Amino acid sequence: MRLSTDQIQAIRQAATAVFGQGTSVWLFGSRVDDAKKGGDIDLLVCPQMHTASDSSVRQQGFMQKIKMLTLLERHLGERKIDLIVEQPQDIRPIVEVAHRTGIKLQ
Amino acid sequence: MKQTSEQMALQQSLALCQGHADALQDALQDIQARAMGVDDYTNMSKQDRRLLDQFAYRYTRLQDDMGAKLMPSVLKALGEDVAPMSAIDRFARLEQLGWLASADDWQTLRQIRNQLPTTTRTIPLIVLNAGKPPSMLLRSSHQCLRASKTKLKYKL
Repeated sequence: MRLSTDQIQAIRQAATAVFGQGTSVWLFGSRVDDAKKGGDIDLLVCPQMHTASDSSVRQQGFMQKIKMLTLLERHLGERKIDLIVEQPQDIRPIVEVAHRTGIKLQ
Repeated sequence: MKQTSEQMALQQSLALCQGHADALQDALQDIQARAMGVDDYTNMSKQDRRLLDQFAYRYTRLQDDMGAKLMPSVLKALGEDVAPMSAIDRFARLEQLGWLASADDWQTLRQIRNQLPTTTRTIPLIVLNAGKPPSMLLRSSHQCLRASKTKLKYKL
């Protein structure tokens, strides 16, 4: 995995600060591969508390995602971070790929 | 009095950003007047899709041109050396000078801008979020635009 201890710590703290205790975070994509260089940071966040997937929850989820990206920019500097927030019964292929190929950071 | 190149750059950036801010305000008002719900955005009419595209385009351009053109022009006109400053440093300096209400809010608005092209589904989420992010962007922009106008007036 190509992330420093400080970077991992910043990611864990941002996820918990925004999505609450018990939130798990997965690193996936090129940063998992030690042989590669550079690249985006691809993260999957799975909040523990899932509520019904109605429109107000989707709006809240979107602003939480923005908040976490803002915190990460503050701690990791300006860089490309792709953040996926797992929804209840999420069937998106990217979510499955992240779980299958990723490394759990917390 | 003859304008300096810094003042001319500031005047051009100001006109460009003011145009985006006005068009964004119009698009936001039209979207709010349509009072669409999140689910209305799944089967959009041609007219509504154009309206959302207009919103996304102006939001993005206002963010980008403020950050890349107007803010550096303002700082240069104030005699600041912008070259070694990161984007975040520029926001902080503008906040310090009273030209930007909140550097933190601006960073949030920038993150929202980065999400706009990823999926059309994010547009209704931004618009319907009680209209806060677009209103916040317009408010922040207006403060910077007003300050730029004042700066030009006194220098001209």
